[in-house]
Amino acid sequence: MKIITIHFVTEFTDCPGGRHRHQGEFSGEEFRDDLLVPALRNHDRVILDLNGASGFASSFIDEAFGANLDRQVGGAMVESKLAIDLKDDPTALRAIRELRQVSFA
Amino acid sequence: MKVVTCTMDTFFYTTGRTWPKSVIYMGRFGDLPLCSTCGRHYYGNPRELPMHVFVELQTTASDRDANPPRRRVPRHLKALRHSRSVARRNARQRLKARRRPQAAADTSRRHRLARQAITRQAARGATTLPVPENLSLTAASEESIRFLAQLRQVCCEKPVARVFIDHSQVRSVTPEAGLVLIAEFTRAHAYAPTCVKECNRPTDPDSAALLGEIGYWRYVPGLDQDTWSTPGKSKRFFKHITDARTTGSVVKELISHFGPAAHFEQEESKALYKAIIECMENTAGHAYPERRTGQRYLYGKWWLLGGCDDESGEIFFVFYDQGLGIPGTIRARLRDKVPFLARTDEDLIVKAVVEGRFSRHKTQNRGRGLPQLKAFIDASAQGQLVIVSNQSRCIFRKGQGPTTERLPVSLPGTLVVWNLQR
Repeated sequence: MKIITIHFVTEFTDCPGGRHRHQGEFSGEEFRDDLLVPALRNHDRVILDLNGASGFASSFIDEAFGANLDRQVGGAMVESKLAIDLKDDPTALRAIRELRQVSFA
Repeated sequence: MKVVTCTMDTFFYTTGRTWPKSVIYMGRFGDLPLCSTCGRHYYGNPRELPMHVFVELQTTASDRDANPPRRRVPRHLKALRHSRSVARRNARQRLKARRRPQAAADTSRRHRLARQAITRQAARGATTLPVPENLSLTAASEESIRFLAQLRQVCCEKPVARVFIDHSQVRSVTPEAGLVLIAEFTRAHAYAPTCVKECNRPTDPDSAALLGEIGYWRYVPGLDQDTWSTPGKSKRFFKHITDARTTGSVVKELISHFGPAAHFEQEESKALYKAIIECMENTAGHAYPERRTGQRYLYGKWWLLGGCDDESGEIFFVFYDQGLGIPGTIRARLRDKVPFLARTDEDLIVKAVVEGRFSRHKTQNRGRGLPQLKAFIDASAQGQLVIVSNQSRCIFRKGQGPTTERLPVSLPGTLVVWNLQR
């Protein structure tokens, strides 16, 4: 079983931006397309460590984990493979939990 | 024999040589050109080969040195391309003139009259604009907003040749008013760079120092200086930031600059970070209308400022954009539904901030940006959020209902001020 852990702060950024790539750096679209989708496609289990970031705007969360992620890899794959570790931002954790049913560490 | 993918025209233009027929007809099968794209051998008339195949002539380094590729366009092709582009350009101009002859004549007449007006103005002298004594946008703001409207009219919409902005009567300036002034100067510089702006400093040293610290005097040549802090005063400001992109590093730097003074809890700093990022995101995505000629917007641009008062323990952050404003944006997007959702602009703002109901997207996950503005105040012990947009001013305090007010004069765009008390 291929497992990968993505450390958001070290592998992407500690200052996540907004929604779309053209609006600024480190957007939800960039994270989803460049890191999350390839990891989901190539591994059996993806553990996403989101601790340590400055904060996740709702637009970032919606673009990274929302309907566009389902369109690319399918909701079933996301729910079966993705596990999220986020302990220092309960608001963002709640937002992701409301968005989709994934497992949380 | 090296084969790369290219078109025949590109081969000709880059090497200056015609397609080598002799190479194609060389004897052995292995010498035939091999396409690196489709992997097949090609032979026969080179003019009939697929457009993506060509053969590089120079197979050795010595050949390459002896015959370096010449990048030139043949003279007859250059002349042909030039004449074709000239013909196309002339056709476009004829078509444009045929379509709107009257509009072209009006435009030239308007431009002529505007130039004459500027010349007459220059002959008379500079237009003087006195700055109000109390420049504020969060309280008693009618005079300040009228002054900003006059400044916009004189420096940007119908620019004059010279304008003198008289700061001598200024007694107090609030940081958000200074930030909006900076935004107006930025727009004036962009759309009317020939309008000469002259200023004097306020006689009140605190006001001059406040405007200097936030970077206001940089827009007026000759009045800026290296340091602006007044001895004995406890207020500190972060120089204003302006951009048109959503940049998290800027917000992080601003928050960490005031972190030691503000003693932010982790939840508070994250809530503030999210609130400012949402403001930037809304500015980039929704605040400004679609681009049309004649509209004087700095599309996507926002201005950000932070400050603190060590004596009183007050910390504030200001965000401003020059877009349509929250009520204007919502009304433009949800024309049919607005009469059923809110009666006034103030109600629209309150519903958008408190409930987050207005998204043009049908999914339930959208429309959550504006509530994050208030989340920062809710996460802190004592704070206040003030939103001034068009003719509406709404004040949100933790644990209390919102206070709304209808302004007599409209402030274009949206001004968001977070105030914390430590």
